[in-house]
Amino acid sequence: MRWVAAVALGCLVGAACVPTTRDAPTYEAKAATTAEKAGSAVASGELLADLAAAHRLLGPFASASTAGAEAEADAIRSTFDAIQPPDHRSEQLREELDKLLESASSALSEMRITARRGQVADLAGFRKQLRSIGDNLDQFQQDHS
Amino acid sequence: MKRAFEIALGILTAIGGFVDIGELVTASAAGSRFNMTLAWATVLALVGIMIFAEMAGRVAVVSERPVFDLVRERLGPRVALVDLIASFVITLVTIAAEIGGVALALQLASDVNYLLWVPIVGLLVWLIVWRLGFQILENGLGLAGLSLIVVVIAVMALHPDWGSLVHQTAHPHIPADVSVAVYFYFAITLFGAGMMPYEIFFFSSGAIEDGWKREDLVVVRANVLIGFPLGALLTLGLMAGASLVLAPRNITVNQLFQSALPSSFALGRVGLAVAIVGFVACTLGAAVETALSCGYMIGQYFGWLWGKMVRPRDDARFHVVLLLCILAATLIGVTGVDPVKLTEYVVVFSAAALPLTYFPVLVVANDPEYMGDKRNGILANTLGFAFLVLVTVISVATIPLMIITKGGGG
Repeated sequence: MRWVAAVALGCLVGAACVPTTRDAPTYEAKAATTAEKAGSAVASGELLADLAAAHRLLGPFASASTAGAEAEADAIRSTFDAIQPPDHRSEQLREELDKLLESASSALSEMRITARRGQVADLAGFRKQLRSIGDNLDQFQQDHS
Repeated sequence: MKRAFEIALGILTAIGGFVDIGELVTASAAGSRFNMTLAWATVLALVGIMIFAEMAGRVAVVSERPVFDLVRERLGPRVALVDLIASFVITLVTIAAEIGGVALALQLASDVNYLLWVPIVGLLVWLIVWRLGFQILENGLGLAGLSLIVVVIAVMALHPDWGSLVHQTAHPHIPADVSVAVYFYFAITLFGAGMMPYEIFFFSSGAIEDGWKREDLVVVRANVLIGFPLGALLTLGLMAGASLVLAPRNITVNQLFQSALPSSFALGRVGLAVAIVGFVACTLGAAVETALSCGYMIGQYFGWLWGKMVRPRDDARFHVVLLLCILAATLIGVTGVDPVKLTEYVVVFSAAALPLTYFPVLVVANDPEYMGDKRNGILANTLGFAFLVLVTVISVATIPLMIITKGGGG
């Protein structure tokens, strides 16, 4: 009997460790908030690209800042991915947003690599890509708010 | 020139108090999220800290004894011990956050991971408090911290619509997409950051370190009237810069590099470089200020010899406390805890403990036995009591607000 209670307690604790939402609307609201937060990280990257184009960045700062924006995007993505989608529709929503988050992380990662190579002026080349990702995240947020 | 340097204590206290690592990020975050509609919280904190800093400074120069010493004597060792424990723990954790803040600022200048800078910064802070005289320390760090004036210059270079900024400041409102709880949580963090308890202990102890006497009351008031508004101006500059550059791009600030972006945007590489120097100077000033405050509190409570005006061999216990505090803070820093988050929590918990610091100051400043004819007048008592009520309300509300808003994120 004791081991049954121990297993039950273990299951409860295990379940408690997986962030979950009660229903699909709550999950959708969290997805919209995640898109908004990721949009902020992408906008930071976009501003850094603008500043690089205007020769207003210092090398070490550009490198540290792009790494910071990338870390922020990665943290937002991993937090969202850890939330258990409550139903099939939420799973589709998760896949849709995950693609956007992945593209954001990937673009910011490439920026960080470019900055670490000392090619600060080349960061300007990421503007168009980041703007497009930002627009998509913004659209996602509006669609699901 | 000598007169100009006499306000260095106020400048260092205010810059360290107002513009530490938490404020560098929180003020920018408030500006990017609420524009200038939360500027009132900084202005309110400015008025509050000026009232109590003037009281504490006056107590120190009139009685020629530090505030903590008088608190213990006037309210008894038990009440003073509660004050000591609350203030000491909060200030100790603040040292850790500030050391981490210096390291984060150095990361922006070097692209070397901040965790590698933490032990070096810890050593630097200890060397400063061990080797440098108080006047060199306050003048050097105060002047270096002034480089952060670049954030105000950046705002001017952006040619903002001043009427709009003033209107937002004078007509605060809660944005439609933000809950009341989140808005007031940010207000409390800005208010709490401006009224950190260690500012009072540092300022009053610094007045004694500087050898100010009863006839120097005018210097105390000049420090309060010039130094603290300057700290608040820098905070408002950060807020305005974020409001003008980051808010239109929907950038929500939660990292230090984002606070430097308005300076880079407005003034280019030079502005960026000066802003980073300012970040390093302000956080280093705050680290030194908090470290010394820990030593002051303990030394004054236990009645030891304390301070930089005494040779280290004569106040060895004071310097041992400093060393242990800096060591403990450095160890907290190298665990990888986020200095920005750490300061946010420190500010919230210090807001909860504010009455413990400010009530005894009000009591001592009213005691004719210590203050004679320089005890509080009607104006100081009215304002002091009003702020005491305010900080008591805040102390009750702050932790529930932190929980409800999930630290401002909800």
